[in-house]
Amino acid sequence: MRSEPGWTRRGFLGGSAACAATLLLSGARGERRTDSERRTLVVLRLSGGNDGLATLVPLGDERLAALRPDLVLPALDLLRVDPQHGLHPALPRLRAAFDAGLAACVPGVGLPSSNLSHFKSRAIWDAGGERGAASPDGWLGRHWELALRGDARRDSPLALVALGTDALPLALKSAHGNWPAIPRLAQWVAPQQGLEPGAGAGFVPGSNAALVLECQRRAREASALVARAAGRSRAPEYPASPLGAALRDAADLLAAELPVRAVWLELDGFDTHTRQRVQHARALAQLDAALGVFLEDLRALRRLEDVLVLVHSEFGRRPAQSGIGADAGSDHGTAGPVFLLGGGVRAGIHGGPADLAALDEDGNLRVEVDFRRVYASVLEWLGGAATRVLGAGFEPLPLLRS
Amino acid sequence: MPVPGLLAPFRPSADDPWDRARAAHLAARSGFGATPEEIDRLLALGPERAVETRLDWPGGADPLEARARELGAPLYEFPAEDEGRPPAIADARAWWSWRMCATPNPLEERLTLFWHAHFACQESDEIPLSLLLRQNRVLRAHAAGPFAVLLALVARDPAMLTFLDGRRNVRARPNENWARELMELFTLGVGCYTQRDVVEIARVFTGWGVSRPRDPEFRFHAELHDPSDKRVLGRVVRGRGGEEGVCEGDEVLAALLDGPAAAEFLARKLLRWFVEDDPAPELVEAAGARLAACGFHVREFLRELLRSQAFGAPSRRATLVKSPAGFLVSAVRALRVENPQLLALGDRLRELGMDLFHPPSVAGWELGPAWIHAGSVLLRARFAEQIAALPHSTRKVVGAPALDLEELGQGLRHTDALVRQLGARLVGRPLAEARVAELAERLEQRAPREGHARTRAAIALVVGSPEFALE
Repeated sequence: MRSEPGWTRRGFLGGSAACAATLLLSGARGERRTDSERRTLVVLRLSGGNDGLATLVPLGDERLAALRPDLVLPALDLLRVDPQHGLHPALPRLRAAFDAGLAACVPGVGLPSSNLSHFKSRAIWDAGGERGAASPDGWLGRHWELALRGDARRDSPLALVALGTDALPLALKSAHGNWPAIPRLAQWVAPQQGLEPGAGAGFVPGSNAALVLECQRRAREASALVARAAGRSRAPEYPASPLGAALRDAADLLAAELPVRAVWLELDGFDTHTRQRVQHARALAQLDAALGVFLEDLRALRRLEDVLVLVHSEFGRRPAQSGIGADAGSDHGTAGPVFLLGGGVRAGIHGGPADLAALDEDGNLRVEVDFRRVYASVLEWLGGAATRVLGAGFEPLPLLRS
Repeated sequence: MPVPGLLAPFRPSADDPWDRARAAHLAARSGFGATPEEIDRLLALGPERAVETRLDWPGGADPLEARARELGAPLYEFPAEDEGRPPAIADARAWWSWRMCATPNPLEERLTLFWHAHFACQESDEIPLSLLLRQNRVLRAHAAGPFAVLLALVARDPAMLTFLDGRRNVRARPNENWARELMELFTLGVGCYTQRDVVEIARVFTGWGVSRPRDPEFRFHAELHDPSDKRVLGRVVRGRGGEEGVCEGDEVLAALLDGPAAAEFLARKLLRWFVEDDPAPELVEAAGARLAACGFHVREFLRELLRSQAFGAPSRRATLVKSPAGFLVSAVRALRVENPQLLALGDRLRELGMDLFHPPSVAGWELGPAWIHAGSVLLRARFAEQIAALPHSTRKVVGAPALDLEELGQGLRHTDALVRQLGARLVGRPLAEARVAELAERLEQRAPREGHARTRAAIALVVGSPEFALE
């Protein structure tokens, strides 16, 4: 990672992200702790289809301005991470993480065949395969079944958890084990009564009644663990956004040393068919502010080395804009960048810039990297069995230090 | 017209009578929960008139509006602008959740909620609540009518035109958002169309917009419409200029409903809302054929469905997971809490994952067992405890009572008798005796042996039970 000539770090640090950047730069590598049993994955989905071309911008490609005159960002505002790529100006803390060796990015990641549907694309990402919504379990759920289930040191009723949401994503579904989606940790406190269903005499296995009963049993166990995470005395100030609150909850679980192996989070607001300039900047700023504090918090908790954040979106967006002027947006696309954050990453951009000369018949980017290759890398780092979770043929990428 | 066997009408017999269990099932699935009074009424009407009474609600004068005025509390009335202050989403949530509790026509609410989940739009900076309330009136007024009419109105609805960017879809710059969801979520389902169809349908709807940004009405802007020919789903839509260009859109809406795909797509969704989580392909096919045969007329289709043998079959009873609305509203109704403001019901509904006027995405809410996970059951149990902790007030006192604990727990000295009675009253069907024993044992371990505290604990236990979670 080099700075752009003529662009001073001092100038950057004087900006809004100075505090986070200072902390990240000063002590990121202070603690080396690679106890693989403590490894935790935080998955964050940018929901709606993040515009990759405005997140990790290919530098010096004139085709971009031709395709999207009203969306293209001024070159001088971009936060350059390597000679070929600049980050959106709303991502200063992410840029600081690249500088500190805490961020990696794979451009051009997508599904093997595009369908441009939010829901179908999400289901394929979550299932970790083309069965999508027809899959009974998700990729993290299968990872748990195969690598974590029953492991006394790593398993728990909170091994997988979704935070900041009331819906459980397919990614966490597993044949055994029912995982909680917890909107706000502070309000997720078991009542005195009402969670005492009894043994369920006469309930048919596999029925919805049995499902409710089993989830209630899991909820009692998980809430007993969560109670231990309540009231952390010292924590940095998180932004007052939904993602800030969810990441704060995630950090509280980690701070309490609870056996959490994968956390699921979602940030909405990326379906920018119109008014993209304003909406996308707003969504990215929320992402950047919350992630910046989270990384700072992980460092303070000495968990940077064993927590990995995976940021993805169901698809990228169409290179050509739709609409015009301030109203301009972009329709559903295909490939986009995936980001990995944490002390375990091999920092930098792992791939070349988006190829705007070779668009598909719908005018979309070609997928360079099957999303399962990223999953395979992450599963390997987690000590999982990638081929058993994903099937064969998805070679891990050198994104993480073992 | 021959009736396919799978939806053959229910005919009471000695082996399979019109009894309390069947009436309770109809009450629960065509509304929110089944109170003993409701079951009695439906049982007395007989199977056909019982279905008819659920399907028949007045289109014009709304008895609830009068009742809201009687109660006088602002939250009961349709949220309106108040001295220039726009209505707040909290007021709207409170208004609709109160309607669900107080209505004599629960199927109207359940079906309107179905359409809100189907044509899901979110309140936002760009879509003020007033537009969503107007949309709610459209969904409500046409909930049980011909689907083609509802679809044509939704296609012209200012909230939808804004939410899916229809108003920005213009000749020079077509926008695919509405075109894609129209097929994927509203009529056909994924896999029944190509990206090419999306592009072409986007062009068909260019110019469909609104009159003015504030307080908008539908308007077709002929000058923004692409008048060239389009090719949609294998047929040519003749391009038209001028005001006639709007006909292309209506032609496409009609074309989408022509053929088995849309009928089966919608039938499957209605089956999931009223009958079972995962209807078999044969049932979907049969229901789709019936829906098409009655011209997508929702009331006629539901009449046939609710009267069918399949709908009320014992194997289907108490198998659907209640939505958060079903869960909260059935508890309020069963406990006869006449002042749901005590519970801030709209906010509770939001906490349990059903944020009215703000569904999670254009796909609405995921249904059925998706409502149940280790996180949601805890929040539902917390609600069970909250409703059981409402103030005690006897129903004999005039006003809006909360919980009449004397009525609910009167004269029952034995714990198992208390659980049995509350189970039947709240769940709407008798608890299995083995379960009565289990719950009574829990109660004896944890609660005082008598008095209101024991009744409250029993209420929390029953509302929190797996039995209560299902309908």
